[in-house]
Amino acid sequence: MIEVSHVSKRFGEHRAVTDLTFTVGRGEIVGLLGPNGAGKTTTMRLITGYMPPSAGTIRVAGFDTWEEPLEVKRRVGYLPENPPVYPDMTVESYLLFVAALKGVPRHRRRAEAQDAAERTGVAHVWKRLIGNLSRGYRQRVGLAQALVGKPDVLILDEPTVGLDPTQIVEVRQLIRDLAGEHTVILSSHILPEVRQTCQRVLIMNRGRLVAQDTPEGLTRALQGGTALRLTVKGPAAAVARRLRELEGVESVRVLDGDPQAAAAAGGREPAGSSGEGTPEAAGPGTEGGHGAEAGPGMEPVVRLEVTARGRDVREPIFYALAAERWPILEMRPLEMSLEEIFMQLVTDEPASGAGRRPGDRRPEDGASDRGGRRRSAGAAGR
Amino acid sequence: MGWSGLLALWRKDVLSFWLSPLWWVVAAVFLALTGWYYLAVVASFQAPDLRFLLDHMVVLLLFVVPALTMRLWAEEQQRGTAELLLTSPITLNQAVLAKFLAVLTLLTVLLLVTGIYPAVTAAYGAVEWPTLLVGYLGVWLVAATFAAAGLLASTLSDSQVIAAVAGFGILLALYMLDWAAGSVGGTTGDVLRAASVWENLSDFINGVLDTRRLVYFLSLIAGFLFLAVRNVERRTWAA
Repeated sequence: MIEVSHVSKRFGEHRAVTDLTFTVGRGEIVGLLGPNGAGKTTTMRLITGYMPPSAGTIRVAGFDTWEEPLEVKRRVGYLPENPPVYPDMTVESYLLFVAALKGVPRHRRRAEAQDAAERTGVAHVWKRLIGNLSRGYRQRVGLAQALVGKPDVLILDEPTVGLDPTQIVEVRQLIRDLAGEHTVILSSHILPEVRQTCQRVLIMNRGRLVAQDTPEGLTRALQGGTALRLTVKGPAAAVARRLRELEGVESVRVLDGDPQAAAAAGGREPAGSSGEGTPEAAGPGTEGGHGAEAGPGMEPVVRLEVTARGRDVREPIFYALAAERWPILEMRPLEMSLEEIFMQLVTDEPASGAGRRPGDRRPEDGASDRGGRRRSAGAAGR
Repeated sequence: MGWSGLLALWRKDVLSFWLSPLWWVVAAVFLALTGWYYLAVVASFQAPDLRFLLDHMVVLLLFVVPALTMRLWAEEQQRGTAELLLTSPITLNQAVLAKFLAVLTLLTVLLLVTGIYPAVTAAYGAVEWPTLLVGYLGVWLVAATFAAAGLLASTLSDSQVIAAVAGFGILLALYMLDWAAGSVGGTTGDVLRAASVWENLSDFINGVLDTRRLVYFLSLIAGFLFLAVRNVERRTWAA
């Protein structure tokens, strides 16, 4: 339905979109995900025929956006970031105007406008001035506008911004209902939204496509290994050292416990320790909490994050720590969330992953460190 | 094909003007000032010359037209509705033409209402209707030219105030071109006179219908509208 092929768009010196290639099949719901300034809006505007690409071609339903913009525009319903509504018009006159503007035949205009209003839940404000409606309603009127004329393709730029939680759920359901009948591209920076509504996710960063897959596929492919969260009663340094010796364990990070011991063990500086929120970690180096815990007869408690690759390390960890008589108080697998994957991708932490092309890494980022820190921050925030 | 879109946009803009206080204020000021001028100046003559009234209306249009045209595109930009228009199956030419025709429709209404004054004159004396009608055609063409210039000004910025000032600036420049034409002699003066709105208008006011004058106004209108289209294109594609 939509074929984007090697598309670039530059504004003067600024490259908003660089060498973008993807296709969207009929009836698909695709999410465009990326941080602010990633080029999502530009990409959507290019597909609608609002402006031509600097290079490359875009075809919608077989029509080139540059050669035959009117044919493209006839088939695309577009909701821009800010709903394009006239405050001095009523919902009725606005939707009838849009129907006429889109070339809906006169006798079908009213029916189409009302249908769109009902689907978006604005039928009961039909006679109200749009200027007097709340932000959420205006957003829905904007969505209704995109539906008028039953376009094959819907391009929705941040469709749930400004809605209250109930409305968000409604709009997401509406978007899911639209699939099949319409092809939908929506942009978002809210990850759960994309996960819930979209069959496929395109992740953009700095004008480039960095990954595309199903939400599950992304999680699977990028997770690579497994991560475990452990809480162990035992000396932090020794526990960490013992865990590192196990086969399959890739890294061990002491989240909190005795920070000096952790440092001595060669563990990474526990980035989360001060911000962790647990009371005993509040003051690293204070004798109070840790001193008491580490006192004779009472083993300190340490929390660690273990990543493993290639094999399930839970049993070896159990036996190893049991042999040392360090009881495991908690062992919990960490599933990498879409958030973390997203952070990894857009901060360019090295990650093995499907859909990721080798050319996508930019050395100037030097971001493995940054990505790592962010990732740990994300994990610690759980 | 596509004309229904133009019609829809024209209708939307006319209605939007009609329901806005700005239109009624502008109409009231225009009609009050023309009415006062008619009463105080034209009607007080023994043999009222309606040509003065037409001249006076053109001066008023200098101020009235930018006030109406300022919103045409700037407001669409400001509200983000330009994005709707530019992603609808309507060409930019049609969109700009629709906006031009909308404001011209309203100016036509204003001019038609001023038909009261000749009607009053006719009740008390003779009116040279053919001369007057040709004169009205001239004023209408000037109004259309001003509207096209104002529309161009409205595409320059998202701000309606800037659009109004720029529009007034363009019209004032045209006006000053006329002054210059009067004070400069030789070839330069001839060229300036040929380019002057008032020089071209005077034939109409005197009841002379000259194709060259007609072509002058139509090409000026087409030129301003073309620049408006190009300007919207430039701004859309670059940002």
